[in-house]
Amino acid sequence: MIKKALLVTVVLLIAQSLFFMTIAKRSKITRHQWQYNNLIAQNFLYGADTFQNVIVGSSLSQRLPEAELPEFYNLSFAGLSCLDGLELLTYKAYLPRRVFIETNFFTRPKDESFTETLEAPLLFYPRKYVPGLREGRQPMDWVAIALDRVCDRINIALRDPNVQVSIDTSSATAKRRFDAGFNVLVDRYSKPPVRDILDKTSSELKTYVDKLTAKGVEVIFFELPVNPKLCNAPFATSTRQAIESMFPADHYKIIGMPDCSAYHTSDGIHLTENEVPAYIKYFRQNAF
Amino acid sequence: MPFNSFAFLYLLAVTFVIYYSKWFAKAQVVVLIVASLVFYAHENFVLLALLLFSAAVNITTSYRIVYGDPKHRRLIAVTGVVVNLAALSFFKYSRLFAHTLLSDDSSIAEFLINIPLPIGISFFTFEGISLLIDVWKERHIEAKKIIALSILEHARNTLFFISFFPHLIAGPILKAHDFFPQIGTKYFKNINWESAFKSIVTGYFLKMVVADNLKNFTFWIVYPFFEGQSTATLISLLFGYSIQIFADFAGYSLIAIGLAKLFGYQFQDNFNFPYISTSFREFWKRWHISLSTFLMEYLYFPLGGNRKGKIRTYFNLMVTMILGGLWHGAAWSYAVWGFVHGSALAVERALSDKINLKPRKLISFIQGLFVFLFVTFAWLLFKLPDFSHVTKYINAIATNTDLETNTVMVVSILIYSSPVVLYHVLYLMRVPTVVKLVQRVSYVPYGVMLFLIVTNSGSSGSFIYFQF
Repeated sequence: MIKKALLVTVVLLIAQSLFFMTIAKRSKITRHQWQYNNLIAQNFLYGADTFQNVIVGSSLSQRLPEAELPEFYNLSFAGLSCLDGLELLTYKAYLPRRVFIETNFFTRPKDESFTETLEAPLLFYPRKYVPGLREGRQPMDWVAIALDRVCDRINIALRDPNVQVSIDTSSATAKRRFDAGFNVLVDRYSKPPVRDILDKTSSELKTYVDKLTAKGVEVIFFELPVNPKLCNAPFATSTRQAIESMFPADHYKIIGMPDCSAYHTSDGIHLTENEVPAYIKYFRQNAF
Repeated sequence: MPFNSFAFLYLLAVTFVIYYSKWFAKAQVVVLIVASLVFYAHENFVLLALLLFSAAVNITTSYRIVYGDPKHRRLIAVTGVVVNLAALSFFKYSRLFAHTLLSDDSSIAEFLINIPLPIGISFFTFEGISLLIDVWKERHIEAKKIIALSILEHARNTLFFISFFPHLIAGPILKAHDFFPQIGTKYFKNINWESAFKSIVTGYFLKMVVADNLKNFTFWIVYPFFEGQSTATLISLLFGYSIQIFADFAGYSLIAIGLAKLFGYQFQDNFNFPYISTSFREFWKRWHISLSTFLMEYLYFPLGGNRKGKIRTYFNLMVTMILGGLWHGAAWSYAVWGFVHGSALAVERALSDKINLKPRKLISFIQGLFVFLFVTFAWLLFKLPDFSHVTKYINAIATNTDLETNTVMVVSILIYSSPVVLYHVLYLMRVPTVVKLVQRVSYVPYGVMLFLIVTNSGSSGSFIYFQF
């Protein structure tokens, strides 16, 4: 029975690999942010050797679309920080010309389990040679995609074409929903980062930066604009001061944060889609 | 050291080879003890001291109960149980005590809040208590049959019983009368490979494919993130969490059972299709069986069970369930969760005396659906230990009808829940011809599960029950 089960597994693996090597060579799908993080990381680890500029950061930078920054590889991860991107950069021993480090959440400790599962030899090499094992190729997600389409068709069929669906963003309920999230952020920003964590992450960041600069890579820091109420709150100012004292402006390039009141965010920290082009313009003007 | 880590796979492989090598045939138990201590110390070496302390207490007290002065048997047994419970209370509930009764900035509160929670303490403490009560009461087995006359041999057996790595940090909770008689020399040729393979593959599938993928969606059940989700999305998230917690814990238990089989030991089943239950009583006979039988044998029955009248029975049920709830975690929400389940059991018992429903399929279906929905909503207390967040979640279900449903999330939850749903439905239907067919080609579902473990595992997450 065990041998037969193993045989079934091997046959399915071969069929899946052939499918992704021939019919769906470029197809990859992700259904949540952690999968998307893995996809970005694996695309970088198993390719992306030509990029001269790499961005590392959190979900704030992940919103900067590659289409508008074609000469950049955006190695930013939602829910994580620039330290995770720097770890992968070091692991791959890839030296771009410039590394852009988003500093808004550099105090978020490195997620060891994220990088470990990418770097573990038992997973890294099979994924390298069998593309079917990489992120975006999960069979159950492909079934889910098919079901999504069925749901969409049902939705369209059931929707009354005369009724316009709109969400009232000005209602009291909408305000309650926004405030719930924003108040948590205000509370979080009202305190500086915990001393021990700040010291640990600062030291890790310094180590990565020193390694890169020693090998001739130019390191540029930048901070994305957030809601004006958070812009100069204790968390943001402490983080900023830590960066400025570790990496003095006469030795390192720092793209200062633009005027926060000129930008809108969806939740207090993430730029809305409409605001991204304006920031990218500012970023480009100061980056090179 | 979680079962889904590479470090564990290395440890398992090395231990297995040494265990069955002819040079260690007489030291098999010692090999497993050493491996178990490495397994436990991997996360935090210092906490190993507590495990050894717990073992030492149980070794000496159980030995004294059997071979000491018979006049003091009761005193020694009670002292042993109290010491076990004191250690558990100190390490697990000091934080709750400090938060509830002391000001957060007092030095005592700071000390109590910073006491580390040793992983698995709830499990190995209960196993120690099981040993003491089993040898004291001798209800299941004659004490001298499991307590060796040689103190060294007894110490070895007890340390092995408490620390054997498959069950050490998240159960199943072993009972001394089940485990001790199994201790002995094991042979490679006697391994039931097929049974172990089935348990391990199903366990890893439930954990790595079902639970770890669902986890990536159910993490939205966190304040304030859930506030922005629609009613339908919130309900499917809750449904997904209900499936996730089952897959996570049943998965862990099955892996533990399979691993124990590799070393020649049998653990009791810990889950038996709990979501097909048509009553709360039945649910607790199918869910976390090793805990519910422990609570029944060592708490509910000693309190008097149902032998002392109706009111006392309801009281005993409530006490058992509230303490069972608190066993899961040091927060009042766990006690409330226990209270909610205790109330359901008490009300069900009271009603069953008065109402006698005829066993019809439709009635059973409605009862099953009600139990499932009740249990699923009660899991909110597990996921959101802050009561205000629980009420906000329920409020959001009621008010977020205007928001658009997140189809990707709902569909994903349905897809990843489907193996568990199918598992329960197939068991419920049990059409003989289908059962025969499935048995004949049972290698196909196991082959598919193995394929999905390799290609479709979610991001690695620790087991939910580790926190208990």
